[in-house]
Amino acid sequence: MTDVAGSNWTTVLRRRIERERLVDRLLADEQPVYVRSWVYLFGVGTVASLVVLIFSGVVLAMGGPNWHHTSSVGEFVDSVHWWGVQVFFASLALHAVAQLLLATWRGGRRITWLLGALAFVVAVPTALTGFLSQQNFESQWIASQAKDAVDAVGLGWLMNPFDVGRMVTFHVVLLPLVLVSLVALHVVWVRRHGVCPPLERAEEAP
Amino acid sequence: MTTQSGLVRGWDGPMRPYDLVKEGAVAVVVIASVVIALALAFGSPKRTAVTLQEWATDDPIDMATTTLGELDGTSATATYGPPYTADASDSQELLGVSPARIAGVSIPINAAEDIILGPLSTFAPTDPELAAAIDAYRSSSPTDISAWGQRYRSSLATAEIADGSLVVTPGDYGPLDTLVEHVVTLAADGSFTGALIDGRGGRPAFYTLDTTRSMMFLADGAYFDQLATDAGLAGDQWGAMNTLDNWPGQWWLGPFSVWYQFPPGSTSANADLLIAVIMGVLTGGVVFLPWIPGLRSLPVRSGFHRLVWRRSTR
Repeated sequence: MTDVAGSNWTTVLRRRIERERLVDRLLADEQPVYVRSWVYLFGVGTVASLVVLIFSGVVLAMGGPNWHHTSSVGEFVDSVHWWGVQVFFASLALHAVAQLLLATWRGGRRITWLLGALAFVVAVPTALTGFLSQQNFESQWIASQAKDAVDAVGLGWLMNPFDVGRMVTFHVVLLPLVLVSLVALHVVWVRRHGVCPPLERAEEAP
Repeated sequence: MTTQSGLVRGWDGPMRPYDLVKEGAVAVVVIASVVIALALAFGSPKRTAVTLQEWATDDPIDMATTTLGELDGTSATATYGPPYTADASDSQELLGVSPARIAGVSIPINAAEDIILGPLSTFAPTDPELAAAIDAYRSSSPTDISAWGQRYRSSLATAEIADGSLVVTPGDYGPLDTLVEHVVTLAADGSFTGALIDGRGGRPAFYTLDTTRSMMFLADGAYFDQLATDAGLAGDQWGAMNTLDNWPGQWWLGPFSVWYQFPPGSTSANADLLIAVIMGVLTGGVVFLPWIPGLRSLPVRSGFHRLVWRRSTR
């Protein structure tokens, strides 16, 4: 079968994946010997927290945004989701600070850093819209304060913190799609280049 | 040579066995266990939403004063500017640029009509006094409304509650006192809230997903503000990152909240825009750090990397 180079997108993609040994990298069963510090737990802790948030979030979504007001089970799942957010951001903050201090964008890993930083940025409004979706006193106050910041930068048309329906759809659909996509790309890029070597072994100085 | 040789950019040194999938699975189990344990032990902050009925019952004079502000055009909502009203004179700006003015009105609110008169109108068919007051207001001039408003506001400052009713010094307040007293009375028995829900064409809607008008009304009053201050949530109390009692809030908003604690963030009328710009610059600096010469070299000077990689450097 004749293969016209570059004309078959599927072929191009498959050959790129094969050339980069992407599957081997994604599911590597070996790591450099320097990957043994507790610092390397913060990243997987962040991803694991996100998994817990998604699972508890799906259960909450099945019960609906009012469930935690009318059911003790709903209230418990809401608390699980709430603490999941705390653990997620604690892991994320430790991971981000550690990667910053280790300058792990070295060795051609700048895009990895970019994707992770963007994921952090998206995580903030994802959490904010979650707090706005609670439909309690905290939601009311956060909404009344957030509107001033949102309106001041001219984004009131995009995000009305008082529109609970919109905040729920932002929190449950729109922002998680973006966040999970960024996290997935970040993880792929981490695996694609491997964990950044120690400074004295880097290809380039920071 | 190991099976994974050449898969780590910049490293040609020794490798060791590692199980990524097991690590991830264990991490999920551990994190889930920790989170469930925390939820079982502590629950989460729960404080039911403040209602207009509570407001009318706990502080009817504040509700009356706020209602007057909606009617005579002096409330925060009535004077906010874009995205709610067209008068952009108070919109925040920086170096002459106002993003709010540029974006324009996208959530139009006529404070008097949408928050007060529209909802009150649903009760007018069975209340001739109310119907007459609404008609009188709508046929009055802004000058008359302003004059009545100033007089009534002065009287409200010394108002009292007697037998559940608002008592003010008799005076010429036009239809304002009738309208205000009806709002407070209807809110106290719970019927005003249902009339205030947003609908198309000013008519009450069946479904309620948009609480803009109810919340703008509530937030215009001092009662709601005081509740938040008592709970430690005000802006100068690190409110953006704080939450009820001793619960951890959105502490990751600390870098944003800090700017509101001292001038100009704590004093400027353009604080929100100013701080948004500061955070935009800082966030951009972090996101694009690897491309910024000089700045990207700073973290390494902490020496933290020696703590992490000391074994591999021996």
